[in-house]
Amino acid sequence: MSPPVQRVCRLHGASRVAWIALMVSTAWGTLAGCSTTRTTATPPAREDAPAAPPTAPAEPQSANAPPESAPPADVQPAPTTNVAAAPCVCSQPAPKPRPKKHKPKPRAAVTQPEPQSVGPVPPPTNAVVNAEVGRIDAPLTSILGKDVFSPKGENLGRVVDLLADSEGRVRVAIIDFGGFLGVGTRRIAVDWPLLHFTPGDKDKSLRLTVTREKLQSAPEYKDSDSPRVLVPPAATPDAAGADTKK
Amino acid sequence: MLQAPTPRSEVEPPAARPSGASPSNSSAGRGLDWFNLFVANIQTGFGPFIAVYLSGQSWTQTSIGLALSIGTISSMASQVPAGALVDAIQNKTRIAAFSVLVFTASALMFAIHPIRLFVYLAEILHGVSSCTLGPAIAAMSLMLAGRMGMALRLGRNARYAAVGNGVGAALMGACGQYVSERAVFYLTAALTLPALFALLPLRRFRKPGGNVPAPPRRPQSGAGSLRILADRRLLIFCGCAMLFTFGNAPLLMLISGTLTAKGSNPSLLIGACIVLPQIVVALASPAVGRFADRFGRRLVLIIGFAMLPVRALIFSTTANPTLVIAVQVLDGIAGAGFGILVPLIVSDVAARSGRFNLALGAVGFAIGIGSTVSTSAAGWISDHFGMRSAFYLLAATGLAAVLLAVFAMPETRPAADEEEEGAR
Repeated sequence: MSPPVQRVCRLHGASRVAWIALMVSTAWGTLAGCSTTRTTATPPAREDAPAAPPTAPAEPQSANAPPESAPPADVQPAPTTNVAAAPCVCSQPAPKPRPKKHKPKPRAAVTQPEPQSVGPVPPPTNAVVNAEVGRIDAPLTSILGKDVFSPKGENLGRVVDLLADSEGRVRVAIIDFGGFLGVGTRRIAVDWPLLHFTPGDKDKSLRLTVTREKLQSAPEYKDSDSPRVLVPPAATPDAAGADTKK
Repeated sequence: MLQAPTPRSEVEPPAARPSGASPSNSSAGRGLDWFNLFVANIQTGFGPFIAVYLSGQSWTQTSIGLALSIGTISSMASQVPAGALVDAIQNKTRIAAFSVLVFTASALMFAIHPIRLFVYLAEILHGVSSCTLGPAIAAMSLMLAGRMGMALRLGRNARYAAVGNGVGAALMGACGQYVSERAVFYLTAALTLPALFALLPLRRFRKPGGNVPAPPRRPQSGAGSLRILADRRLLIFCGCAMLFTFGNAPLLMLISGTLTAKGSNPSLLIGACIVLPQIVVALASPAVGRFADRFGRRLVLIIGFAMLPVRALIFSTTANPTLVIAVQVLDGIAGAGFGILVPLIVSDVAARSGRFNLALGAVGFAIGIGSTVSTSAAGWISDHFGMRSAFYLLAATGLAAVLLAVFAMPETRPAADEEEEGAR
């Protein structure tokens, strides 16, 4: 349980944690009614969270973690992996059944863009945020419709959909795999951390650390709240082809 | 060049076409062959590949689904009206040419600027013009071959269409793989040009032989339309066709999904599953046409339909790639039979009524319903009850089609020299 926590911190770094904290806290109020979340105590007051500046140091995690560490426990039924919520563990050692599989890749700087592209959405509380025009300080890459390549360079298909959890974090990418002229394609859900990004690479900006065979034999994705997902192995930090199915 | 002298062209009873108009007739026949081939080529580009292409253009699954539904709905809605329209317009060649030009436009819309407006528009245009093109081809065949020569002519049509399908699938598959997905649509648009050229001799065929106007258009009243649409043979055939399509349409999708999960080179296997039946159709069609003339439509219908439950049952027990591909030969046989019999039976029933294309549109509508409903139904069943149940369902539907054909479908082959059967 503890190793994952450390990895989270290493991977996402302080700014990542701060971001998540912000998103989580702003989204919480709106998501309270969501069918999957059964949270009761959701004081929107937490909005002021110390996380506002993305550059906030690592401490904030302890500051804002406690309030939400309790509710997420029953958000858990979703079988997908947990990437960012792990910091909560700091305050409550017990609650998380999930953090076991989540395997950040060394690409900390590069992984950052994606929560931001999906992240800044949350202001839908009734309050309007005074948004401003700015720039995201990282190379960004478009994802939808992009081809995905295996480490060996084989084309594995393309990303056709992204799934986010109730807190707005992207958790799963849906890959359209195989087929001939559109006949016989299979959609397969893969855990987000299995994807790696090279924004600079025009042709092969997305890599999926899974062998073709694994992807091929994975169960087909059906629209559902808790799809079966190809996830990285629980312990090994890296393995092309290792996976555990939920 | 008609293999069979058209003894009597009942197409237009009053001024029977001189049956030996051979020279222009033969070049017109070849033109029609090529036209069938290129049209089949073109239609390959508008198949399920569109979903692949749009997803590569960062379209969401929802929008793609919407676009495809728009296409389905517009083609379903226009089947019968398009048939009536083709009946009403004298110059079938012009309709065919116009439909092909519309294909060009929609292919270019896909290729050049796949934004929603154009994609939806292209889907609608393609859906509607497919519905005019099919009847136009059948009407030109009828015009060329006459009702008695129709079976042989349709056999040839099916042969060339199958070659076009097979070549088109290979060509477009390679194009999408090695050039770009967008290029597939440019290729599709480019292929409309030879299709138009293929029509030229048909135009020439019509002009000099000015005595060959369109099929008779005697009963102009709505009552005539109703009478044809209420023809018992046509209704039963619509039922057969719907059941058969219901069982047939999702079969390839289901089995190729399984192949994708198993085989070592699934794309190649699926390609084989698509192309092989076309080869069989190309080889078997002329014989099937002759067979339908000699032994009757009913027998061909029953044999063709019987392939479906057999295939579905075999698929339910195995996903062995070699076996699956071998079984696809049966699909070719069924495809040849069905492809020929649809226009043939309709021409038996309706050729003399001047409502041929309307009737064809009605059958097309039944087929459309069958395939649309079944794809969702089979998907739902395989999700909830497993793939095997889906195959059983399809086999059962196929069996129902066979039974309907055996017990209810009358023979429609016109008697050798008088057509008192032709209820008009």
